[in-house]
Amino acid sequence: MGTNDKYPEPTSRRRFVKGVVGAAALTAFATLGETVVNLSTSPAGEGGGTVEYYGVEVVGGPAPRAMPQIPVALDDEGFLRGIWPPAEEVTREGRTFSVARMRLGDITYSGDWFQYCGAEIFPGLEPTAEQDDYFRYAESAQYEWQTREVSPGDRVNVDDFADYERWGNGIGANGLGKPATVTWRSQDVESSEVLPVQIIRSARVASAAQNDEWLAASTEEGFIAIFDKCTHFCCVPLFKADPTSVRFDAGSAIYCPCHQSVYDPFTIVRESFVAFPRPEGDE
Amino acid sequence: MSDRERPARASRASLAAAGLAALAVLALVVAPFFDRGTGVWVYYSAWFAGPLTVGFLAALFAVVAVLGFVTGVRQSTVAGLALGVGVSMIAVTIVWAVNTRRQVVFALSTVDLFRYHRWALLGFALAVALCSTWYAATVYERRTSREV
Repeated sequence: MGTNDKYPEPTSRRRFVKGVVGAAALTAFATLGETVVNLSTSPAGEGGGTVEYYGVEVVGGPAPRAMPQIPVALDDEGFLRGIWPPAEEVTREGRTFSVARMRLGDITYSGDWFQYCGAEIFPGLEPTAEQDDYFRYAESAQYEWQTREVSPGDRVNVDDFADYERWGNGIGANGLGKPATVTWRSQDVESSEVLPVQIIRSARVASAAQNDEWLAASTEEGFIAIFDKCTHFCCVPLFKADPTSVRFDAGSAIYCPCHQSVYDPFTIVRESFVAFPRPEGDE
Repeated sequence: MSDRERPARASRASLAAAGLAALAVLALVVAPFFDRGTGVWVYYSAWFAGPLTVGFLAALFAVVAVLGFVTGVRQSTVAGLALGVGVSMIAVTIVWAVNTRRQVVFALSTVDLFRYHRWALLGFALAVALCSTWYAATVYERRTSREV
């Protein structure tokens, strides 16, 4: 062979091209690897995926979608609790896990509704978590009436809202409804893992529930509950709590002070979103 | 500095800059995992390939850059690999970024800097490719100046 070698002398250009081809091959290898992993597994956990839900409509600001509603019920003593669906076993992609879901009104209500903003790893959203589902007043209340009349940790009772038809605090219109900040399914959990909820008792809710299948099933005696995580970077917006909300025409709405998102608690819409999965092996 | 030293120095500087940009890409890929929750996996799964592939390529690039400095691997081979990896990182990042849903980004955490994350990733991937092009140009310049 020797001087008659059919392969040309290596040149800089050939080495450069070899480098480029090598890079392309490695990219193809990496892309194929990630694709196979993506197609053969759900993204790091159980459940999640696209889910339909009811929530309070976004009427201003950058929030991309409604904040989900929590269906409520009153017990015989007048204590308010959030409805949590029974757990059932489902098998997906060869794996069996628990999902909390039920038919309510005209929709399938499930724990997936609240799986975003990191809440998907909170103990309270585990389908089989042993919690009593009662709403309890939150530690740091933004409402003067709540600080004065009830104590953190107390269960919410209908009697605490007897003045709901005339209540006002100088922010927005009076008589729209009486709000409170509460927690749900968060007994004996870390403070960073508490599920924050906004409840409002309003005559407008009671009236709307008379002609709406979903509201009839998910509200009671004018009480409505909203999972209080803004869909735009996860702050905790509130109804009639922030005086600056008036500047954004949100004095009578749920206003997020972080990026000025505004939700109308009296307009309930049906939307969908991608729920994050719960971590594997929770139960 | 002599005319012969200038391309050599530029060559080292460009490779070092590209290596640093690749490390920045790697840091940006890893950073969201420090946030709680499973959302990052959904965020990264917007397309068949995404930041995990980009992160792998960035790590590979860092190795290539080190090889370029400390071993006898031909500079033209390093230049080809670097440019190829840089362009691939851009391609994967663009396709992933345009397929990412805003809704998912907003639901990751309270850290609103996440809104810029995918574009920062693209920016540093561009920096890697640009610095690699610069490196390839200096290698070519050194070769032609030697031939002269």
